Amino acid sequence: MRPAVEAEKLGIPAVVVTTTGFTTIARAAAKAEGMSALRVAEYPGAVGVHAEALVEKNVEEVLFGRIVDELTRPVKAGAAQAAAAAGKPDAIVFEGTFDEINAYFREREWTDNLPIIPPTPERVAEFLKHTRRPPDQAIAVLAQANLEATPRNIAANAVMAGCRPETMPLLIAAVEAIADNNYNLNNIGSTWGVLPFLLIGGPAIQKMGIENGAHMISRGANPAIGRAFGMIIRNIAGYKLGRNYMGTFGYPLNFTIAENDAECPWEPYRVEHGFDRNDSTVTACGTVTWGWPPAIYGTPDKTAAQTALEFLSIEVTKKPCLARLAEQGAKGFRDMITIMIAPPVAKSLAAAGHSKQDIRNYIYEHAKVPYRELEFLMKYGHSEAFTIPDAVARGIYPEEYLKEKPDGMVRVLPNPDVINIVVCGDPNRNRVMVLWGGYVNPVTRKIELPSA
Amino acid sequence: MQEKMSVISPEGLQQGAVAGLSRHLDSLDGKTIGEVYNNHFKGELMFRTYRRLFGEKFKGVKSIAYDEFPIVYVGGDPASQKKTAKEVARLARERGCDALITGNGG
Repeated sequence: MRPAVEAEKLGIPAVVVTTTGFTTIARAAAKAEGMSALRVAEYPGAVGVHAEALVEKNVEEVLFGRIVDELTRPVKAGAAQAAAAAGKPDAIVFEGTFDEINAYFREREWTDNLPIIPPTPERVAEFLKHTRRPPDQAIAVLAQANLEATPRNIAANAVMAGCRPETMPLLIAAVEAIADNNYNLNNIGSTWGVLPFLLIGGPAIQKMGIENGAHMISRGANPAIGRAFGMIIRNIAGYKLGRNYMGTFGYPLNFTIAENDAECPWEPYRVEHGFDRNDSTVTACGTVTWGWPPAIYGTPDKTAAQTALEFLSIEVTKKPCLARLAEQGAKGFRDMITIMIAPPVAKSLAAAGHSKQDIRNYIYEHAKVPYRELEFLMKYGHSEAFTIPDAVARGIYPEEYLKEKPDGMVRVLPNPDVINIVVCGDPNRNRVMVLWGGYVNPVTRKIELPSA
Repeated sequence: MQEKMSVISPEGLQQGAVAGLSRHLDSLDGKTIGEVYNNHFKGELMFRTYRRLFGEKFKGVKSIAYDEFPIVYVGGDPASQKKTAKEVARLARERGCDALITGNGG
């Protein structure tokens, strides 16, 4: 997209080829680069799982005409982004009950689809008492929507998220951090599911009631700060689900971590990065969550279906507690693997003749690691410090493992049936996600819906 | 009955000067089309197909293949992405491109 923007600025018409569902994000990214519009030609569907013959057909019958049209016809300027409705930052945009306000905000995609605390002027004013900055001073202009962040709208988002007023300076600093070009805010819309989170350091932790010990992301001021940060990403940076925030399977709630100086045997993160130990800092970070592993492509040497099977088999071997995952029988660890498969991948697998059970069987047979790797994980990552022969003797590993050593390959799943396959997520993205779960078994019950 | 409240918007005000698009071409006949690629989503096949179709449907279209421009990687830091984008645009002008097709995927 960026070369198109730069070419347009030099007077050269440039068309960006997108795939289904990605036109909006391309336009938004161009807007963040200062363009009012963008020439876009959209390929129909998920090109990554389309066979070559289908790609050629789609280019010939659909895409090429769109490219020609975009280069040879006038293009309308994009509609202006909906900004603060009344044009005045302190304008009352709605009056209503708690439920009505929540409905109004949900309709405008101003929430994270959980109930919000209404940002009344009085509640916002409480937050503004905790900064010396004027309420409508520009803190930053955030990509991709190019909306101006001010103490007032930062506070509105903080109120909505349920933050404590004294966290206001932290949130202002967080906005300044994501506005830094080096954060790369203009690129977080990826289908990988990029989830921004915050790292807090210094005296602010104690002053603001932030937790940095056990269960920290779920305790104290942390959850609300993370939620407010997510609201700011949506409402000021302008990342909206399905339009320019494209995580294939969606996003968990944004979260907050904080460094524990007292237990840290090294210099704290902020000191490593040039701050004084007595400084309070907030670092804008990101994690790739539900959407990685990457796309399952068809290539000249493998079909998309075969690639998916092999990729899933490898992915299963990357789980953190592999030695326990391999346990079986009545004394073995309880495992469940949930594989979320986006529809294009599921369809390519089905078209190649694979049933769900075929997929389970394939992964069971092909998810393997070297004997020595499994034994290392067992011996040094396992509280009981077993060896593979010990585990076989105890009946939690099969005897066949003893035939394969030390470089032979051993299976890491106890049986195919620990794999649960769920087709879900963006119907236009060729992605999968493998969730490992321990301790529980999946249990399903019928939901009795009230009769009409 | 729930109490009524007044609320403000959590959104920011629109900012940022915006540039308009360049003028469209009246025809593609005789034009030079530059290809810009990010190594994603089977672009090799797609650009090859565009070239064939330009040859079949228009007169005298010249394509400058994507391997004659820098590859526009999706990764990298924002500053280097911008620098590469400007370099592509500069090269396009230098090579006499009348239009660019960039891809693939978004």
